Amino acid sequence: MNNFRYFPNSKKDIAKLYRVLGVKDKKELFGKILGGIPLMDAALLTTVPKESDEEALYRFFLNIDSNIPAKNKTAVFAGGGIYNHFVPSAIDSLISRSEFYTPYTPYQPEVSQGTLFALFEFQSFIAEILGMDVVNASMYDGAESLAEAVLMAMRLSPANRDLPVSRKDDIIIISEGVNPSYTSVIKTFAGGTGVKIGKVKLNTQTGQTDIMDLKQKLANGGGRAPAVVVQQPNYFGIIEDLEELERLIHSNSNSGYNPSFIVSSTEPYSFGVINPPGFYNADIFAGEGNSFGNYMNFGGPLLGLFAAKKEYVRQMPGRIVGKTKDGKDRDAYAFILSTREQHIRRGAATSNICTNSSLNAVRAAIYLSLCSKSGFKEIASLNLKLAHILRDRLLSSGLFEPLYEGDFFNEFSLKLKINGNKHNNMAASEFIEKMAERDIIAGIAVSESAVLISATENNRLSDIEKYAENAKEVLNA
Amino acid sequence: MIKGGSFYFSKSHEWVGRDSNNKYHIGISDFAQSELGDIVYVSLPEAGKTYKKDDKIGEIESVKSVSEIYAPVELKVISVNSKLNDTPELINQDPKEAGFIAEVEISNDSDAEGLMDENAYKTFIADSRHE
Amino acid sequence: MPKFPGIKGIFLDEDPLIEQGSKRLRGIGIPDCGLKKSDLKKDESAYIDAKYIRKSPPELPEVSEPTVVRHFTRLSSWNMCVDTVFYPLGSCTMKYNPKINEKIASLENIKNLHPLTPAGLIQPVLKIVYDFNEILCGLTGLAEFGFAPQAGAAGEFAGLKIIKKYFDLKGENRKTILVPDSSHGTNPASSVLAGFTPVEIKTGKAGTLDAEELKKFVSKDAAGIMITNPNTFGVFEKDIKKIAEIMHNNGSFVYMDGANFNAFLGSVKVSDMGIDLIQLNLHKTFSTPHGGGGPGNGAIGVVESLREFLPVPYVKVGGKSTGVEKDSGEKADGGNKSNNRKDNSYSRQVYELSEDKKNSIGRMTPFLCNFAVVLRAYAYLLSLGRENIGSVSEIAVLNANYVKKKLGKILSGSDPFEEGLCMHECVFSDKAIEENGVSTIELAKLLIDYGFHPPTVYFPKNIHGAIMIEPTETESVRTLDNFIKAVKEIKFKTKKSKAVKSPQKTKVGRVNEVLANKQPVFKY
Repeated sequence: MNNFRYFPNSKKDIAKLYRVLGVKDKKELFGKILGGIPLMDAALLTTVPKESDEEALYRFFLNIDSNIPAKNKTAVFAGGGIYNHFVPSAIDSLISRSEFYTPYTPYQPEVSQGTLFALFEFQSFIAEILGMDVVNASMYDGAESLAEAVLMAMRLSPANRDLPVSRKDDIIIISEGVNPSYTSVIKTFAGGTGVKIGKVKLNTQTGQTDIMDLKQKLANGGGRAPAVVVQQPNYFGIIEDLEELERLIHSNSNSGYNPSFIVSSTEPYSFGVINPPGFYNADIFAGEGNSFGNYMNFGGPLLGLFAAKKEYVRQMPGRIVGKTKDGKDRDAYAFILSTREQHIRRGAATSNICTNSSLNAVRAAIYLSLCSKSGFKEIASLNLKLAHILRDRLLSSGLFEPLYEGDFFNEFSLKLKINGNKHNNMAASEFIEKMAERDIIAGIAVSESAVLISATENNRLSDIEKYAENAKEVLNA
Repeated sequence: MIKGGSFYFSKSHEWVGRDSNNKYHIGISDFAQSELGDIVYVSLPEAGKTYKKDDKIGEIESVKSVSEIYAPVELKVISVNSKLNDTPELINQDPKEAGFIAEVEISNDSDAEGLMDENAYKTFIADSRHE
Repeated sequence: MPKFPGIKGIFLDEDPLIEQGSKRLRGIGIPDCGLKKSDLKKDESAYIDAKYIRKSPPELPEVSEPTVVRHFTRLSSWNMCVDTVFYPLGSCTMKYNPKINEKIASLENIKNLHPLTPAGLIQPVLKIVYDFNEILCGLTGLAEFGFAPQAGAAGEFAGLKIIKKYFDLKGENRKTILVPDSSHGTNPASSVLAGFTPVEIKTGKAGTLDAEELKKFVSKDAAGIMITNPNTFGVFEKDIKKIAEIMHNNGSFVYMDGANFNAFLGSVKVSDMGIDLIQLNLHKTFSTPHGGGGPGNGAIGVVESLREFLPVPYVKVGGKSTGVEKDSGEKADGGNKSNNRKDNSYSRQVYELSEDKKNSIGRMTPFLCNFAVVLRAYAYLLSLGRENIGSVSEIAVLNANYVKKKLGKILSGSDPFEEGLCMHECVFSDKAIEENGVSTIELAKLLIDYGFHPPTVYFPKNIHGAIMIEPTETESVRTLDNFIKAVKEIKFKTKKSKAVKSPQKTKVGRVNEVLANKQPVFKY
């Protein structure tokens, strides 16, 4: 039998290795190491298929690829946390360089300047877009990033942490405008501390976080709120009035608790058109960056963005790249403030995060460079306009009605009416499945009868027309 | 400021120094700073606060390590050496003078005297090196 | 043929992109999407309230496509990587990343698939995750894997959270997790995140945990133990079965940090050691590229009694069928007829994303998982097949022991575990090199100039000046010999004056990390 193609040691080499070690064969080798633990024979495993040559393997996956919705004929209008943006070829070409995708985390800075410099540029670009002081070198995804933001806010409040604080009376206040999956992830991560989660309703008219309700929630918590979390634009696509929210949150200081104003986003492309979280004095930003140069990849890997005010940097999770010099006074880059991290501070680290989303972050850096200043704004503006055109077109058919009236960026929610009858709603999931049969991913169900729909620069006017016409047929059935 | 005074050392390498005016300061030992290497950040205790012996009162960071600073005796912090916020390297350069951590008040003078004196501390370091 | 790969070369310098811009340059083609000129020109305030509108756009570089491509290509040339050098980072399993996996992950429809596409249209994709789970179960002897954890540390967190929830539901208040002091820093950090207090247990000379020593720490407070096996010294935990027995008798769980699973792949079932939970780092053992720090996947596997605690959503088979699902099932089936593989199961089985796990620890990620990573790992296992999978750990262990033995002679007195065999990696202290005046960090930097990536250094912490070498199965004896020769030369021929200046052939020399930390610069 020939050697398998990924193993550079020939049978002869392997025999040499055994000889040098004075061991006869695998059985003896593992027998000496394992003691009483049995050696398994993987060749007998029925769950593992037989060896595959490269061409057969490729055909197998090609076949899978051709049995799912085809990129070239499917119009995607689904968002809800991940968006169908255009990815320029230069990114794939650059990222396919082994020098980017096959190294480990850059712990040896002298031989990792490429990744470090690219991550430094990533941090710089994201800081510009968000209007925030310090951006880290990435988290797993928007939801986990947001959960870490909540944990960080808990470290910051109450300010006096001399006594062990019981978190049982603390409440993290989260707007119902935050993506429900994100809220679930916060529960998974922060649950261990005993902290409670308090939800703030949305204004039924505008779809924005209800200021009166937030006021009440802040008062009811007895002031023990380490954080208030909102999403911009929110889950239903609505642009929040961060100015008003900030005023309320930052004026709410109580028994050592100064709630951190945490802004999330699943679509930071919006900050090409609307004011970024830094403009509104957000303490922490934590959200998704997949829109920048990354494919949807059936939901992962994604790109968690994390940013904070400079004064909080020592409580930040994750790696941060800093600029410095080498011995000859040349610019050099390295991870900094590593003492926050698990490999040094172990149980007292700000986070357990280690491997994260470096390559996705480098993709984002390349993407944002390609976009450039004017392109970024122009694409953002295009998203805004296409979404508004689509919404107007759908509303004019009389088969939809708005769920909320507030301003939106590239995503909005509509209720469905069969035959235009207000009292005869079609289930959102049924509508989506029927549209899917017509090669249109029409959105995602956000309630029994409402659909969340997004439009990006990857949708054409003709796709919008196709959506409207097919929706008419489906809803008039 | 601490010149001419006497120094007492804890097993966790902090010193308590009493100067000629009977004022007390605390800091970390020369041995401790040399083990840590280049110090890049210090988190200082809180002025006005009282700490029991062995309470954690602060942290010292080098590039790749973190060490805790413990109260060598029961003490009250009068003021901290805020110069360390911007120039933590003072601890490396001059751990017993310019690199002190805080000026403190001690309830019993005998607490400080109960620690190791310079000679005992030297022996203690030499012994721990052989371990 | 050069004596060592590291000779000399040319380094091309690059300015930050922001300094290379020129007004209104860009590197992206933006479509008009069929919009009328008048619409394209319309001000944003025609759509949304002017108070929300950003007045000054973010200052991104204004550069063309060629500039961007040259910039990042040059940057890439400043990295060492698995494809250019021997990269023996201990505990990181820097094995070869097969190129076909990248091609598969780049398939047009897969990479552009929205995760909330109706399940009926994506049966083959759901099946990948389902089948991959079956393979991992076969290889480990565990009952089920959850794929939500995005990396090793997230897998640890998931596992510990499962243990936490198990005891919460049982009404037992167990507060601690036992962690050997030689463990990865993520272990105690993940324990804290999951709501436990980690209790460190001192380990012996080779980092192994002694069953008798463990007994001293076992009480009703212990929810479980986190044990890395082989441990961070590359040594197999001989007492593992006894350890598991002690923990199980105490009603506690045994969590294995699977970062070093490459030592076992296809040769040892962790269930035979009494392991209850393990995370598998797909970006280590299963060949998916590390990406310069991610993305990864830390699939969490559990025994039967913990299946209902796994994160959601997950891929479930045999749920209700809807019209769309049936249609596409036939379509997928039809598509398969032209293929030799017998994968015509879509019409009989229906895969769906389900949240139906009654004790689930909940959600860890917005969608299912880092699918593109799972996809690569799955392709890797299909390539290897059952015939070859056992060779992975066999050759990895052989290579590591070869390095251990050969270097052990050069670095005499430095192997803390001289007598026995290691598994996938070996560790040395700095004893022998210090004798020649070379420190561990200097050895690491000198190796760079020889054309090798340094091993993991100064970890595990209980070895003085630790040097931890993991060659993996994808390196040849020839490469190992070359590396060993370099270490030998460093040990016997290097002058201190050269050592402190190394590396000298890299883009930048020794980086001033003190300055970087004292006066941090976070952005342009």
